[in-house]
Amino acid sequence: MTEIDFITAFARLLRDGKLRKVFAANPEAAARQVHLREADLPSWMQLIPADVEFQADVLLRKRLDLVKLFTPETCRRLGEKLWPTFRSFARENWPPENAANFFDAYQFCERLKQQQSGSVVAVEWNRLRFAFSKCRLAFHSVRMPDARRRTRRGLQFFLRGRGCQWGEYFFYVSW
Amino acid sequence: MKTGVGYRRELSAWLATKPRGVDCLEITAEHFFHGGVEHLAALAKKLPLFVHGLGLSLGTPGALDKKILEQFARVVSLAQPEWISDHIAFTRTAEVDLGHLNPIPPTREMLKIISDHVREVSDRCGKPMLLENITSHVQLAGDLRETDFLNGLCERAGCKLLLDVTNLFINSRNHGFDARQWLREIQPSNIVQLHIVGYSRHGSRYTDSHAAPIQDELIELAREVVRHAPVQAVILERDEDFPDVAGLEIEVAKLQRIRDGN
Repeated sequence: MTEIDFITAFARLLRDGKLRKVFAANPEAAARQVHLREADLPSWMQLIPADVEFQADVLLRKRLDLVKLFTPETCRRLGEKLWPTFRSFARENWPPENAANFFDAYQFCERLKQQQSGSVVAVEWNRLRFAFSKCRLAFHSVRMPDARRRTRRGLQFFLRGRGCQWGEYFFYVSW
Repeated sequence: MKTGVGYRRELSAWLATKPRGVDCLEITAEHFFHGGVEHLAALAKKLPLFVHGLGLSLGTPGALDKKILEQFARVVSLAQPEWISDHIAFTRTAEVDLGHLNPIPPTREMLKIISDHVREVSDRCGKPMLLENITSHVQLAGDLRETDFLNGLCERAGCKLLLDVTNLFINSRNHGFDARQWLREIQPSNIVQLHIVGYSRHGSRYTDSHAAPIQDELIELAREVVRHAPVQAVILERDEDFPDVAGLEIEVAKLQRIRDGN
């Protein structure tokens, strides 16, 4: 197995909550698990688990800020439960690099739906699902607020062009 | 010394009024990677720009990401800044993009990695480069003191420092060292630009939320830097919870107090 440098190992530690648990209990075992090169072991051993955990939380909060851009109403509904719920999800799930933020939001909502929390807003979930589907066309009957913040029934409509571009349209069907 | 702000869309209406005390702007390169060329050109006509990067990941061992470097160079070419900057940090490895700045250990090996990367970026962009100190909740050990590492970096890479006064203050509080002693160990001629914004508290920790008004203790520390080093620009780096116009004017006045030493 190829040995890895300190930065690569440190990045793994920051993204992987399970590895941080191993590190907190036994830093040497964590170093062996990631195949850290011998020369970097002194730097590794001087890391303080509580500080690493705090730094990892900083990264998770940055991720949450981006997830909020795609799911503002869902996040608002979660209220004070938002951070602990997201942290519990994100500690052990790092999104792939391509489309990372959108995919993070998708996976977070998927987890919320599995937990049947009732907090996922249909309009946002439909949008995320369409983005990751190959459908050319989709429509959903939804309730959403209008410009005056009155909740009205409407039709949410998605259309994908020839490339990856897609558009979203909304038609109110009730006053 | 110039005083200015980090350009954010939320500030554009206020900046259009040509506020007193804003005589330069710092743009974030990544905000213009996927468009906004006309907007960038318009900004460059109004005020001198500095180009600041978040994602070159200068501390990642191995080659720089060529695509990101080219995107960065394209923004530099449009903005024509006096200098460019990024952080003494890594944001990604070959395995993962962490999406944010993380600390690097002050080692001789890292000195070489970052110096080589700085030279490559500076050569590609045709501009001098400044390096910024970050906040980190993890203090990494190495075979050099942090201040020796920074002085060595400037010498070896031919770059200067963008001293984030807030980050220095936060690290000094979280890691228990004397910020003024740290400053005395830095070669004064290396400090060319300052960043400043208020800090926040998260329990017993100090954090850089970029969302608070500049506190008096930061103004004092920044004044000390200005007395000590040939600072050419100080930039307010506010990213969230933007105040109203009156609040922004108060923040800019603080930059002027730092510049004027009163």
